Amino acid sequence: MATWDPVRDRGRVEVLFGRDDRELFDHAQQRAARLGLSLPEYLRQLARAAMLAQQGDPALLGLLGVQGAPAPAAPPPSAPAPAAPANNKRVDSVLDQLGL
Amino acid sequence: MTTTTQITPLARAQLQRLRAAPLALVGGDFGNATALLCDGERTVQIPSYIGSGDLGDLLTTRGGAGGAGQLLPGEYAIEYNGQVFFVGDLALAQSRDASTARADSSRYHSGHTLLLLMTLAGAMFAGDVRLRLVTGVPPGLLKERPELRDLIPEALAGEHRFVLYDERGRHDILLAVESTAVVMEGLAVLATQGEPGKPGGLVDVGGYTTDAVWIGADGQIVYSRCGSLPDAGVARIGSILSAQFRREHGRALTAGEVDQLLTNYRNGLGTTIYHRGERHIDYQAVERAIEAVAGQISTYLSQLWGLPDGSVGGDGAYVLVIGGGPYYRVAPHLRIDAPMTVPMAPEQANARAYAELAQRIEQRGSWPQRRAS
Repeated sequence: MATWDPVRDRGRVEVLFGRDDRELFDHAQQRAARLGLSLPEYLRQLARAAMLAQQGDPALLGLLGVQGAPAPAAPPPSAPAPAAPANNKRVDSVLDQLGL
Repeated sequence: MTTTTQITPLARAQLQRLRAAPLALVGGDFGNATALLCDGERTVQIPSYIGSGDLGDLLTTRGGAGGAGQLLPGEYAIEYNGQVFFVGDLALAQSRDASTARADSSRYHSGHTLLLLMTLAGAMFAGDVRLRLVTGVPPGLLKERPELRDLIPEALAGEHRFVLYDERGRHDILLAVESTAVVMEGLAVLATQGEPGKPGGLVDVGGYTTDAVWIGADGQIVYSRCGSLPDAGVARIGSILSAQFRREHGRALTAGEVDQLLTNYRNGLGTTIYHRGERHIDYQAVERAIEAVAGQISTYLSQLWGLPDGSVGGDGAYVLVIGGGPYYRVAPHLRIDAPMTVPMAPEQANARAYAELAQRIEQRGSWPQRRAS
């Protein structure tokens, strides 16, 4: 099983793991190996499980060995309409540069 | 002297139809492999293939003795200017001359893109519609041919009356393209989904080409760090595997076999090819082909985004990875020294961002005006 290799894993693991996440990386790698999955496959299943858990179905999260996950926070009854996108300024800057 | 203009009944009827047609602000991504249209809520996607075909023959054959048959979901044919074209999956399956006009940069203004736009608009709206459109051209091509910013709007502009055939039947449609803005591909995604106030890049691993775009912390487009690498995309993975198979067994893989290989890979499986017996191509062989393509892309990125300290894009706060590539786990193999993020539905990212840009251009009232001819 591969452990964190700063040369080999430069960039690639930072998709999901920051520079200080070596322990977390190794832990996720071990858990993936226990389940017979590659790390990307395990993380994909984990993302799917987290989504299902948010929808009230924590079964897959349990199957992946995640215990005691906090209950998802209920959404506010009526979320206010979002204000103008925060990145409008950036969009406008790009449109200005393109003459649009 | 007084001049009066007589409007014909046909023109009057067309004018009335146009006045009643809804206005849609849309984004169109007309790629080498796939074409998409997004109106901000819905996205329609078809393969970029167009070919000739005889619809009457096809439907009669399908109908058998019971009468005329029907098109299947996802199959489209267009009747335009007295010609019938099969589009998307139908062209792939039933046309002998189906083409995406790949590597032909004139496809954007030679009619190919207009046919794709008509099909997508017909599939999305199933009736008359007025469009204001934002679309994109790969950075490398836009640098080579900046005149495309004018040629594409001119080619798409105007009223187009056509008949669309799909699984629901026949639709007589009047499409008016009122305005088109052409931007550098990938830039819209960076503008709408990038982190404001931070420098960052985007890598779009498409079907046949990989594009790269960079934007500074101040929102300035860094043109020297924008470019395109041809023959480096998802299709290249299939080409590598096909060449290997030919070396070992004497024949190339068919397009269907390559599709099956890639689909199986996405499901974590290998594939059995039948050629003088069973030939197994395992998951790891596909993984190696993906690594080879990712290596090719990484080399290109190091030329484009390389820094004196040897890092690639290390001065960026983030890099977005979009296109079809992320479905084949290309991103984890890219050697980029910045945190990479793959947005949801990465293959739709361009079209959705164009639609967002279209909304903003409408708010600003800054659509490009058609040049007087």
